[in-house]
This record gives sequence, C-alpha cells and structure tokens, in this order.
Amino acid sequence: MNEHPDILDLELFRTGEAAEDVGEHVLRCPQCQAELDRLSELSTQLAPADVPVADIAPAVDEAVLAVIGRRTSPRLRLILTVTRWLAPAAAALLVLGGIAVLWWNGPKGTAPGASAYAACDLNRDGSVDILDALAMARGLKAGATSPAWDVNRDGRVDSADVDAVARRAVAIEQEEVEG
Amino acid sequence: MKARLLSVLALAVALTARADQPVRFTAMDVWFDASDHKLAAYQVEVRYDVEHIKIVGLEGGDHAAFADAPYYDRRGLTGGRIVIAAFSTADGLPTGRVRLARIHLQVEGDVVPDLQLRLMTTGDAEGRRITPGVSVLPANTEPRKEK
Repeated sequence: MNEHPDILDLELFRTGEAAEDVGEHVLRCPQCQAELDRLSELSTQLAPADVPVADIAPAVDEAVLAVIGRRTSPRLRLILTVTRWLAPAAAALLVLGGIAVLWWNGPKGTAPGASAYAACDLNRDGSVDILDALAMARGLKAGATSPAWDVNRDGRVDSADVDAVARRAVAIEQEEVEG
Repeated sequence: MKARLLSVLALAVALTARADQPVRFTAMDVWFDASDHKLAAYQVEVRYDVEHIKIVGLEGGDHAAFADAPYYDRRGLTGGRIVIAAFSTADGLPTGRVRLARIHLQVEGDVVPDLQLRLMTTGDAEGRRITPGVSVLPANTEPRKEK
C-alpha cells in the first residue's frame, strides 16, 4: 500500500482489525503514525464519557451507512456489509443449531432413543446385548466413563445406565407382543 | 420379599386360569458349563408353548455372582418368547457346570413343559465371547456328567 489509509482504516488498525497492508504502511509512515496517535488520544478522551445513545431511526441508519459507503474503500464497505448481517445470521444459526441438538438428543426424561443405545454398542458387534452392559459395568468399576454412556439422560453415568443397557438387551419388541 | 412377590403373582395367575383345565406350577433350571472359563455374562432366549405355559417368576442361580434375578422383559412372561440375561463384575465368577437361573412356570392342561433354549451370547471376565454348554432341566435335576 503506497497511499495513506483513510481514517477508518487507521481506526481499524488501532483496534487490531485492519488488513495486513494497512499495518505495514502505518509502521513505516511517520505521518500515519502521528494520525494514529491523535486517534488514540481522542479515543482516550472519549472513553470516560457516559453519553446515552438514543435510538436511531432505520432511515437515518441507512443514510449514514450510504454516506460511509460512498466515502470508504470497497474492502471496508464489504466489512461493514458483512458485519451488518453477521449478527442476525449468527443468531439464526445458533437457533437452528439448538433445534437440531434438541431433535437429535430428545428431551430429558424421555425413553432413550435408538441413537442413545447405538452409542452403547461398546464392543462394536452391531447389537446392544448383555456384553455391552458388562463392558460398561467393567469400565465404570475401573473408573472409566464417557458422556455417551448416559443412556437414561439423567446427566450422570452410573449403574442406572448399565441397567438401561441390560434392559434393552432383553427387550421384547411391541410388534412381537401384538403379533 | 422376592418369595412373597412370587407367591402373590402365582396366586393371581392361578385365580385367572381357566377352571376347566388342570393347572400346576413347576420350575425349570438353566444350566451352563463354561469349562475352565470364568463366566461373567450370559443372554439366552427361551421359547415356550404360549397356549399352555405362562412364566410366573424368574430367580437367580446357585452362584453368588448370579444370585440376583436376571434381567427380562415383562412382556415376555406370556408371549411365548422371553430373553433373560445377567452379568457380574464380581471377583469370584463361576466356572464349570453351574445353575444360573430358575424359571417358574404355570402349566395348563396335561402337558409336559417343553422350553426351547437358544444361547444368544456369553462372555468371560474380560468381556470376550465364550461358548459354554447350556441346557434347561426340571428344577432340582442335576445335569448328567459327561464321561
């Protein structure tokens, strides 16, 4: 970068968010370093001020952003645009992620689903039988544990989970009873 | 406590039995022969004649490591098929020939109870699969020793 960065790029540099070429320029440019010192001083002076921020009407917000857009580099406009949409997108992703986790694990206190028991196929022979209960019991006795062993979803891994696996091993399917 | 529960259950079943059929109660023992292996877990399937037989109770066996009643599903008591299983992490585990479970039956009619036993899985103290001999015999009957 040969040209001096604008004041917004300098502010980004001051807060550690500027691009690498901005930083390289500032480090070898006394003029920009002086500007940076002034920005830092201004920031220090403004820091103690406890100025209440009023709600800004969406139209004003849009207008300010438009002005910033016209006066800043394409890269910064991109950063501002991304930042503007990043928070709502992240929030939406968190909500969707939470729904997915709930769907996958099921609510606490309900009967364990097939996925819970599949995790208890400790000897990896393709079925949950009494040898898996034995393996879990031996593991617990030896002090080993795994979150996946919380078959009854009570937040603890203990003998109750071993019992749950053993009961699964001997379960008679409902269709079999009805048939 | 177990004996009392068993008695109550047996009485309840007996009261609902058909009056025109002779009803009797008997028991069958499940025996294993693990030879030199230490038997730590077993799982067997038992099939029975649902027209004449109901399972009215399950008990553990002779060895201290398997003294408690095995795991089973109550739906298997009257459906003609039940899976019973047990395991132990005790230091002392049975070897050789040992009785590990007793199945109490209510039998209607003049039939000899015939249970078909299928070994599903068994494991030793390290959780390795083993293949012991398994048999079901009328209670208090010792399996014949092989010569």
